[in-house]
Amino acid sequence: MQVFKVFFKVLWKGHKVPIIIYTVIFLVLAFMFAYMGSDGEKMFEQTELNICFFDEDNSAESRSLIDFIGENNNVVSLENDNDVIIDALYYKRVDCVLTIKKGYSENLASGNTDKLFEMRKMHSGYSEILMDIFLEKYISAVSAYISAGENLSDAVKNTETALSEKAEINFADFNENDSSVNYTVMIYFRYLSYILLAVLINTLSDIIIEMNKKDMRFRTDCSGIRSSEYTFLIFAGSIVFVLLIWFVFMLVGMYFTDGIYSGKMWFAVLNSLIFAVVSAAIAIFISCFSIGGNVITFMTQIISLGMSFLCGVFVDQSLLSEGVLNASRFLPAYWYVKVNDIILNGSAFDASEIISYLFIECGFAGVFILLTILLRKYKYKFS
Amino acid sequence: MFWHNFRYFIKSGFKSGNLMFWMILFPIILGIFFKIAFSDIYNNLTSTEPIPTAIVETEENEIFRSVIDALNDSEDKFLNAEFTDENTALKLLKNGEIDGIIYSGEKISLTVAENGIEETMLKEFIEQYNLREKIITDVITKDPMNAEKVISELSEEREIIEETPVTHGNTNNFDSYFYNLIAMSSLYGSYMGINISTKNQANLSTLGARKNCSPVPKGISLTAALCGSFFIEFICSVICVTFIAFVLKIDFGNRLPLVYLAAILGGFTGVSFGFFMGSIGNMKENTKNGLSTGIIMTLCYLSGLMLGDMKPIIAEKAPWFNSINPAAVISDSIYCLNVYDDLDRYFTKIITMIITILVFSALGIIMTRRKRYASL
Repeated sequence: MQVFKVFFKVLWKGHKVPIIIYTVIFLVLAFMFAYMGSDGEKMFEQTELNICFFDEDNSAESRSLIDFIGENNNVVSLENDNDVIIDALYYKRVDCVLTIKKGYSENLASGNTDKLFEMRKMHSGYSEILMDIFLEKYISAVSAYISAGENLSDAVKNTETALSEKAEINFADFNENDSSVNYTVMIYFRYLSYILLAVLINTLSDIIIEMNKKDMRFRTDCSGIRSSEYTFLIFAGSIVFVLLIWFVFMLVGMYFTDGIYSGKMWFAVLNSLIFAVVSAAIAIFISCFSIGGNVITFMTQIISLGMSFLCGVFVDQSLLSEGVLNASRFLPAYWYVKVNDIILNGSAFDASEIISYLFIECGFAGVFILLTILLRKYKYKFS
Repeated sequence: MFWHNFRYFIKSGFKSGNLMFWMILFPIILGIFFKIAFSDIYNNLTSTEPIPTAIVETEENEIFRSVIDALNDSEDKFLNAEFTDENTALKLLKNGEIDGIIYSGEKISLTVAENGIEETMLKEFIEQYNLREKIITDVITKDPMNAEKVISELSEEREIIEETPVTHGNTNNFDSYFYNLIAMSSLYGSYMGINISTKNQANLSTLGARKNCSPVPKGISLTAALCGSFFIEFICSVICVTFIAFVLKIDFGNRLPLVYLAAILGGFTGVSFGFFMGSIGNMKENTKNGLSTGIIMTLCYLSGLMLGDMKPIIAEKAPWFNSINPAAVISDSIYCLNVYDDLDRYFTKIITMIITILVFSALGIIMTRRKRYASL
């Protein structure tokens, strides 16, 4: 029990400030990350494009077109300056910059629909095609009404009336029976892997290295306590510490679920607990090497950021290349994120798949614990 | 004596593992992670693969089937449609293998599982079909003689949009993370600046106390240390940009020497900022380093290191801040080189950096000079 108490004494005396600072900073980050994404809706909502218009024609028809497009999109006004437009397109503040050319209404009335608009483009993508489809639909409808003998203003009016008729769109919610899972809480859980790795490696490794320092270790070695008991108590101390940190993050996570976790969220909770154990096992493994505080900080950055970038914590796994994903299979965070994605994407929910991934994570913890034991034995033998 | 101090400052700087990690190794490691994570995103987001869609026929609709067949045969199709039964379609939708199910019958409807641009395009597609059907019906009801003309107008291939590229530079907006990485690495030069101040103030370090009672004029030792740190920062910036440009292969266009210039001046800005920070108050070096890290990370956050959208948001809400935020000035100078054809804005940023270096260095010297201690 003495060693157990000393573990927490060392923790409290030398590490309370970093632990509190890290936990608070990471909680702030977690909140930021969680609120960066928006919650998925349960009904179909059309994607609104940000469109900037420059109306060189300035006719009733061109204004009518802008108003009509503005009903389902955001019309953004920008200064007609190339640098301003470049900035807006580069940072995606606008999706399209469209100029309605002079003579638009006259050309439309006379049936000359060639190059009525100028689109200033930077990135290609679906937004452009979407705008293209819409304008094509609009212009061909106006032209059709004109060819049927209507004048321009009637043709525009009829087109807009016809276009206002919406298609029947149904939203298939495959996850409808489980309201406990929401996007924000799952984003919080996803970033939690980075936070657990960073907090636990930074603090736990440091504490254990402190405990293994010559003065303290020699004092313990010449006491009556057995070596195995010492190791056991260090493990016990680490487990209690890890559970405490994990528990704090779970309590905060409840803020996003408006109360106690329920349904599939328990899988996410279990997943995070196992990942906390994996992180602790990595931290204990690192502490086998007698390294200084600065090196621990470096290793924390490299391991936590590296795993997060490679395994799909910061960037969706769907956006990572095949090669990166193949390599990241050998890292625990990959399986953690996979479990999270299955829970979030309720459509492909499969409990047995989740359980097999959780076992893989446990396997990583087992490997690190085994390596720690082997390394310690090796070091003890040669010391 | 200047050269002696200069040489020893450089030696001790390069021997400091902590400094070298944060100024050289950390940006390189972070750069590798950025490259791994962001390398495919831009291509994925700007590629327009045909949208996988299932077509379920609830009733016979020959016209719609022929539209889909024609679409599948066209070269630049935006839809990859496959006829199937409802159960298979729902299974595919559930597994995310398709973006939507189009039910074709007397009425055309769409079922989707997510909200997104692909789903909106499917909606536009069926609305376009419905619209054509409605127009033809309207016209036939009014005057069947016009039907042929209307059908020909509706099926005419048009080129209504003239596309004009706004820049010939690098438009990959995920590369802005690398510009901000260079800015962060440059500003980490502040650790060296803080080191100069604390190592020259007798009340902050034992080395400072020894230096203060040595016969070397303070002006010389300070100038030597500042020049030494500029030299180290010069090397660090060159390594950082070289690694990003040649190892990570980030496209800086044909203006790479100007990118080096921006990064080097950015590094000098970091050193002078640190020198100024170090001259304020009696806090220990570690506390000042912590404070400096906090300020640098906040400035980098506001210039878009963690969230690419931050810089345009600041530009919208408080444009003046981007002009004085050193991180934004450094990253903006590299951005200007990559997207603008002219160099006006780049040189404005360069001048801003030079003024910042002069102001911070001058303030640091004013605050450090002529300090005498009765006892320590």
